[in-house]
Amino acid sequence: MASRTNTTLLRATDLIFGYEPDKPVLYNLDLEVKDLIRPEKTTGQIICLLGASGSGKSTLLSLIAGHISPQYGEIAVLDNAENSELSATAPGKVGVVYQNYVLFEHLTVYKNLLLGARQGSSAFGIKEFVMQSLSRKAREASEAHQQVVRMATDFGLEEHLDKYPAQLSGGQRQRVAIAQQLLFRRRILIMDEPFSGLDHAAKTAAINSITQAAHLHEYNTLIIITHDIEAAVRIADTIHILGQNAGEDPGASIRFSIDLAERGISHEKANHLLPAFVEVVREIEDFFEQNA
Amino acid sequence: MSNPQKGLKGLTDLFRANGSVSTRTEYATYAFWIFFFAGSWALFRPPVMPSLGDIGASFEPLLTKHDLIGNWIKTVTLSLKAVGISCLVSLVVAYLAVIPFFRPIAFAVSKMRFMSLMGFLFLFMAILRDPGLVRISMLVYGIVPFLVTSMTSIILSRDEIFFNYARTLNLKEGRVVWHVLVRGIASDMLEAVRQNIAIAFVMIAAVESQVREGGGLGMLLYDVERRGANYGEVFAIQIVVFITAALLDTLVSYANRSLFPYAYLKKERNS
Repeated sequence: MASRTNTTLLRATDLIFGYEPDKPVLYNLDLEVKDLIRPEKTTGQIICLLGASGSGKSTLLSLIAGHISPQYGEIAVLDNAENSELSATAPGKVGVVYQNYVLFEHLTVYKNLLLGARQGSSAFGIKEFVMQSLSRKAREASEAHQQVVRMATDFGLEEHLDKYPAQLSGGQRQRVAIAQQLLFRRRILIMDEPFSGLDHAAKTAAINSITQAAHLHEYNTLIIITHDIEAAVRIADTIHILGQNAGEDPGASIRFSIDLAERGISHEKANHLLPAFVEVVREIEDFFEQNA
Repeated sequence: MSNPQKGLKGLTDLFRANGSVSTRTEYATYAFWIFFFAGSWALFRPPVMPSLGDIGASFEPLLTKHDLIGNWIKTVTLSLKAVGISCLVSLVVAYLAVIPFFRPIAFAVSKMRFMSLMGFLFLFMAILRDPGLVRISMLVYGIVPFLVTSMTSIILSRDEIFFNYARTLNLKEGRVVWHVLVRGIASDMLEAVRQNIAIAFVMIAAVESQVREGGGLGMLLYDVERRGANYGEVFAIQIVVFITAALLDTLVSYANRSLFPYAYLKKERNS
């Protein structure tokens, strides 16, 4: 049975943000993500933020990632360091996999991953950069190289290391983007619409990659921003529904949350066949229909 | 065995908007237009225009009496120097546009493309005096505004998501610029240079004919017209300028493909 610890990984309090004055996209939004542990299992957790198109999901992503600042309220995240405390979010504190799997197009897959690994290593400085640039042997002996090789094996990317991102399929790009962010080792990784425009097989592959990424380390917390209800229920431990209380609030907030572990859905094989799965999907669909 | 229906489809595609044709058909189309224009030239040219034979025959005196090769080398050297200096100046001005304080300079330089090149000839001569320096400066003055316009547009239109992505990896701002604005768009910048090389060759004849000390194909054109406008020779010189510029254009395109193969992989995939 899963249980939440008292460790808060992310806390957004009283967030207000809008692109135009007096037209807030998000209004009084509160969100708290706590660490989740399962005895005798090494698992991370997956949180889904579900919302209709235009509900402010991508704005919330930009706020959590520190790309933009709220007009009111604050967002704090837990740093990677042991015994660290919550501090205001900033670019680099949270990993992000963008909708189109943005990568550096001028770097090969190997170099993209190596960049992530080096950025995640405190031991990598100018001296190491010079040594590893001059000597292939030094580079291959480095910790970052070993990490890249391990991650590439875990994500089935060994054959693609010498390719450029433009030579990869959408699924392969997604895996490289996730692997790069995981190598950078932050506790929180946000993914923007990872299921958008995918067919059934590609969506299943994406679900597998995301689940694999979450469970590589118990500290990994993936926040998936999506409008795909079924994929969210299949994959998540917790779902937060983003929407606007029409007529009452001028912007969107978290309307309600569903703990899928409590409902016995998360971490169950073929959970989409469970009656509880169908119930949760219907519950969310009803909410969106009533609030359309 | 060839399929006649497939062949017919290829032919209809040739005349359809956004039609896609095979490489063979594409080359055949080029050949058709070359023959069409050469034929039209031979049959319908006004009497004042030289025939293709006249143009061919003009090369002999140009090579033997007027040092076509020596003047060609001077023109190529001058244009390469001018393009090289223009690239350096334009890169500095365009990248300064990243810093808001310097952005007005880039915009002002870009607007200078509406200014006449020849209008400042006497000013250049009065300030610089050395004819070689005047020629290079005039060409640089003519090329830089066009290059800065293209380069600034490439730099400032870079999507915000690439900056956010780089910052997500906790790269310092200098490395963000390096990956997003230098290496990330290097191929586009070289493409801008390729497109603007043409301007150098458009202007070079004018500059060399105005500042004749130092020779070059522009000086040769002026000389031909001064001697009574032998249009065969004029066309022969223009053909040399055209072929030189086209070769340089192909060379830069090849260099771009070799130096930045990833940019072409993306374009090929998208097409």
